[in-house]
Amino acid sequence: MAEPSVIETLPARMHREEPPVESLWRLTWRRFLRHRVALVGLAVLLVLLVGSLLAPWIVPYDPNAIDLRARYQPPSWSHPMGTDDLGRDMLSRVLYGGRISLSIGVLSALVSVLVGTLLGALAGFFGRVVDGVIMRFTDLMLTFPPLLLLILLASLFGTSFLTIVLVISAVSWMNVARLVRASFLSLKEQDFVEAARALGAGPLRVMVRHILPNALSPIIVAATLGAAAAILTESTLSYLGLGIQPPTSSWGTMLQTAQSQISTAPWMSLFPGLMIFITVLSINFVGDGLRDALDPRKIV
Amino acid sequence: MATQTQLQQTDDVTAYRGGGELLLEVKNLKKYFPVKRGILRRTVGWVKAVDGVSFFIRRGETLGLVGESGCGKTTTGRAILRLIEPDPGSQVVFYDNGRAVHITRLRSRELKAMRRKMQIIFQDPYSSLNPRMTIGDIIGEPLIIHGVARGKEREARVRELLEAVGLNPAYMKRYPHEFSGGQRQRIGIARALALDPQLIVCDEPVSALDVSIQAQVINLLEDLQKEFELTYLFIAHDLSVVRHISDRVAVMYLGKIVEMAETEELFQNPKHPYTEALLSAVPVPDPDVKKERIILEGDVPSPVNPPSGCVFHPRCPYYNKNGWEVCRTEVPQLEDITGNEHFAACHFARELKLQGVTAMIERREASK
Repeated sequence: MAEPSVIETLPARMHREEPPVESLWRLTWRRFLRHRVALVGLAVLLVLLVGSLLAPWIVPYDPNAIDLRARYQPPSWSHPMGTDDLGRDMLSRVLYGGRISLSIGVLSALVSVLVGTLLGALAGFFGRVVDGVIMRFTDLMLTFPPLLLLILLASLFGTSFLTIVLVISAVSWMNVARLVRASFLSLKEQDFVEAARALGAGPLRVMVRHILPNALSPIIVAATLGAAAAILTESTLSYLGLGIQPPTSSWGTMLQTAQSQISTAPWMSLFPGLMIFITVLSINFVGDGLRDALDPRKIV
Repeated sequence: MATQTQLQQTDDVTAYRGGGELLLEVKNLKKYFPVKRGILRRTVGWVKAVDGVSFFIRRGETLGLVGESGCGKTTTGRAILRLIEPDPGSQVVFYDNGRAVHITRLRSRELKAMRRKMQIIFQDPYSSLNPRMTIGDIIGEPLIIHGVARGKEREARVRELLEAVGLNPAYMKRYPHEFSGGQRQRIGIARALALDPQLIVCDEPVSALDVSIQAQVINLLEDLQKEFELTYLFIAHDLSVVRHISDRVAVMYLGKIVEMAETEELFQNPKHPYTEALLSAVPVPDPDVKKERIILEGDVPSPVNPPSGCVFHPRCPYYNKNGWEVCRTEVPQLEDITGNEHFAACHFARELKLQGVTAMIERREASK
């Protein structure tokens, strides 16, 4: 009847060769490293990030120092990106602007992902009335044209760094909420969630320990791509004059001041525009890489 | 609904005679799922997944619960644990050292305490383990939830459990994706054992495994039953497995129990035509034996709109031959047919001469 011999020797046999323990996250990282374009994107982003972080120590000029003798200078050895209408060094301003633009991008993505995850998780997990209320509110927010909403909120709440972050988050959490709700809806039917309930785990534990870690993949991708979108949105806001106010520079405000000189001093719009382009592209590459690396179909 | 008759059914089943201490008693268990249609999501009907199921399990025994896919076996198992909330009127009584605990009436705090006594093992070893947790965390979680053991003590307990299910304790730090189906099922079993439960609902625990692995897991379950004095509700559709492991067997059809008896009695002496048909489908590992199969006509009717009277009558070969009116009009009660705890829900259980597994083979050989 029983063959305890088989049962007992089985683990012993397997124990002989002990491969290194690998979590799913480690596997994911390995897959990400195989994604060339994403790696390039990540490298570029790191350079940009370090450049912006270290800006105070590496920029050649004070970004707000006006030098009227050196207005509209094209790129040269002393001003690699030229100067603007007030003779300010563009390279310094671009690097300082990067601090603002990147941090707004990252923070907005973070806030919108937090809000979206919280609401989506509650809606997906509890369903019924909670789901109805949260998702109808989400739908409502989605019906407003985002630009209109942005302008409205920005003019209502002002243009400080923090309010801009919040305003951008306010128009971008909805997709995350839907994504997270969908994940929670399908994950809560899984047997391991049922098992946790059978063991007596409360709703909080089930959500945080069991469902959320398995719903993280789409959230991470959404957060990454959201950062790119937020940088673009910030540029749009600043371009419309509702974003960061002069003399502080962000890539968006720099574009705005540059537009009148686009034919006479094209470098003034070229460099901030290029930075936005490169940043957004790199983030999107990283996002793609993450999406592939986190693909559940590749997870055994 | 014929509440009157169903109550009667309940009384009949629970009028058991001696033979060991009761652990679980299920009376008139019901679960209807609403069918919703249209924009307004109006309820247009009910899926009668479990429709008045009554049975009992004695301490230390294994009750096999068999039936086709979709007959409500799984829903029954989960409703007992209140993973699915049973409909009002259902009764699940757990005898905790002589104290009758009405599971269906517990509030959430009391229910959490009862979770220590009743556990579940799942069919699918892949979806039943959280892929983001280590084996140690999975098996140790119940200990955290109930504050049973912490730190070193918890680790020691997890090691003990892994050893009990025949796995290397060093596997604690690994993740589920590194294991095979059979190993994962052992992990699931260790998790169910962590709280030292009395009753384990085994929801088709070997159906998803290779046949060679099935035997190992079945043997493990039997060993554990002896070692930890466990009681099993063993849900399955594989009759050979059920015959091997069960002390008694209950047969479900379309949300109802149609027959329940001691295992060999049921296999040799079925009293319900559906059981007879099921038994005729059990493969015999002998190429010379050609068994006569009872092929049921038609499909399992929809549980949204089950047939009147006996739910089995449209497919019953005896009804189709004789056209008894009572089968169409009256719901048969689950009654003790032999006076020996052989329950069947068939109006003609006493009259019909049905064939058990051995008789089927013998008849075939005689006619050769």
